Amino acid sequence: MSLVKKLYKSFNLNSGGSFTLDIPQWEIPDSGITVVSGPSGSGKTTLFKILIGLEECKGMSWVHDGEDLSLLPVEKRRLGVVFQGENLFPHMSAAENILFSAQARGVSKHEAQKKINNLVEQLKLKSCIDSNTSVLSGGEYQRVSLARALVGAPRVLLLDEPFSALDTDTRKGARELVKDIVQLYNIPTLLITHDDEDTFALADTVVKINQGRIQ
Amino acid sequence: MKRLLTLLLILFLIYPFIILLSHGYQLSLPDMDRLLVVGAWSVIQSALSASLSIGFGVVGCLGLFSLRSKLVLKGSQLALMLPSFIPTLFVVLSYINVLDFLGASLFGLHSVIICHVLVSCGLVAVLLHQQVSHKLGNYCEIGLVSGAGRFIFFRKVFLPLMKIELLALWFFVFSMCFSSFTVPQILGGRTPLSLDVLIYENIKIYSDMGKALGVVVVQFLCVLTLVLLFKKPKVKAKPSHKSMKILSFRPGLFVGLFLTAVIIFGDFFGVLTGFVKLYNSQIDRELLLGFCVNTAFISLMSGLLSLLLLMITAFVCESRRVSQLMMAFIAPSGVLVGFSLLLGAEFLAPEWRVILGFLMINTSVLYRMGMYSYLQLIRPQLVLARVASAGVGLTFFRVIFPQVFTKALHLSAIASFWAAGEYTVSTVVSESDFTLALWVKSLMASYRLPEATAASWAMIFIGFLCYLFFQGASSVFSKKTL
Repeated sequence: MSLVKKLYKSFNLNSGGSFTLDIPQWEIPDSGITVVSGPSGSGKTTLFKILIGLEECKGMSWVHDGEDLSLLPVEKRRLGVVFQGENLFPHMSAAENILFSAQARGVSKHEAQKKINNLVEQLKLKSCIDSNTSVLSGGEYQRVSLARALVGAPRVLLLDEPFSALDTDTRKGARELVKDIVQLYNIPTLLITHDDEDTFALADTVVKINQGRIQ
Repeated sequence: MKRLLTLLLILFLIYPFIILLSHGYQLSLPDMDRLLVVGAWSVIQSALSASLSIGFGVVGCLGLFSLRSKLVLKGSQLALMLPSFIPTLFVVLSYINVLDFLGASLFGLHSVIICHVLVSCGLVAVLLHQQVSHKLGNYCEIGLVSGAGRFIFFRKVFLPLMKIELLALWFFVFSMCFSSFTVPQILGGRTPLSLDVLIYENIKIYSDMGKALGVVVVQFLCVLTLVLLFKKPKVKAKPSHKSMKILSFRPGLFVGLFLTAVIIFGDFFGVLTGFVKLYNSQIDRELLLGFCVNTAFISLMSGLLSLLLLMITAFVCESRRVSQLMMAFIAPSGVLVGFSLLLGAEFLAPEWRVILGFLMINTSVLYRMGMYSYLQLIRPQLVLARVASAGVGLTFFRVIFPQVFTKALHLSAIASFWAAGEYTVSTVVSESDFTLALWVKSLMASYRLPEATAASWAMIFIGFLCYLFFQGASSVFSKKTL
């Protein structure tokens, strides 16, 4: 179980008024997929960015496996992240993108290649692994993003609306793949979404967020 | 009315080309051997200046990413851009003062390159900082959460993804240095290190207008080629400041700020002695007073006429074609404009020639600097006005004018500051000194450096006063319209 405490952030909105994200305590299960769902403007993305470390949140703590991740800089948190928008470097091939993440985490070239081979098989990337990211289809792009997030042996996998850019058919397959991969790697996963279908299909635990508060 | 104004505006901007074309019969082939030598030196000088500026600019840009406070970032950006904002003559004088203090050799290729780097590297740092923030914001987040270090990210992501922008900036600085006049003219030594200096020599030393015209054609074709090669990078994605720390390199900021500090520091050398010397000499005192009046006149009139021209562009630029033309217009170099005014406006007093020359060069620059984006913002309102059947006059006076005038005043303030230090056109159109900038050059040439420094501060002071005048008017007007 990882424990988030005193997550409090208040800021002014461009449209006037203010927004407060206030989570005094939150237990995240150590396995399976925890879906954080809520409407637009409920604070999902802010929560996501705070957990990754891209947004500052003074006074909070996130203890995972006895270590307070909030005290670590972003690059040392060892999280696997799939963002909502761009996830891959456009000037690299799919393989180079995955290799980049492995190298960044200090994985040796030999070990990285072994991991990439496994991921290629598990995520069905054989046909596109050497392609430039600009020619990948939506589904392929998402699978490569997932591979990139997994290659560095992350503590926790964080996915921000990972299926929002996919069409309905691809989305169904992508959900199944994510579920399988999370089970296979046994990584605690946080999935941020506003889509109820994602929640029904994937959630082991559901956390509802509304107006900056977990319900 | 609108068409007539558009036509007049375009004719005004292309006036130098019209005059030079109408004197085409005078054109004679330049001395090819000399042209090749000067051309080669110009390319070497510009390439080295551009490469070093980009190098220092990248370092400065990484330094800017180490700043967290928006206020400090803004202040640092202003400090870095200062050398490219103040008159080049001021930078050159500061450089001469510092080198004189150090007892180092003054003239030659190295001095021209160093001065160009001093002028442009801060600008490169700020421009690159904006482009990197826009383009790499998302990728920096990916790099950070992937655990990538600064070096690996710089090598594998920054350089490959920013190479087009870096190349475009390189071309930008190269073309600036290639058509530079003030720096190579003062610091270049015997061999002209830019084609503009060769044009100037043909006009002023050899009085050979035909050959000067020949070099003008070559120079213009070169600049045109460079501009066409220059590819404007696309801007996309929203920056996320926190994630940019992967690129932060604080020592880089100190390098950039150190170069600015050198320029400011250099311009304090002997300034008091200079003022005392100028005050004690009655001739110098009278000259100073006369040149101050002329400089203030040029500065104020340039500001006022810039305001008028900017409002005319606001009036006519509702048409997308005119707007595109203003954005794409390549302003001719100062020497070329001065040359055209020498050929086609002999009847005007030198002060007016300088003012007109300044406007021909800078109107499109000012438009691109701020007017364009502002007019883009109100474009939907213009469509709304048209749909509501509002006439041209009503749209201008009720929609455009109240919203654009403050911005135009602000841009005119900048124009008036620049005009106070105008040197290139002045030196071509006049035989004798009549502004502070020209006098500063003469004082430098006669190695009266303290007096030159004092006069250059007077020039900056007058420019600043005129700037405040327009800026004050801008804030008064903005309060009235609120």
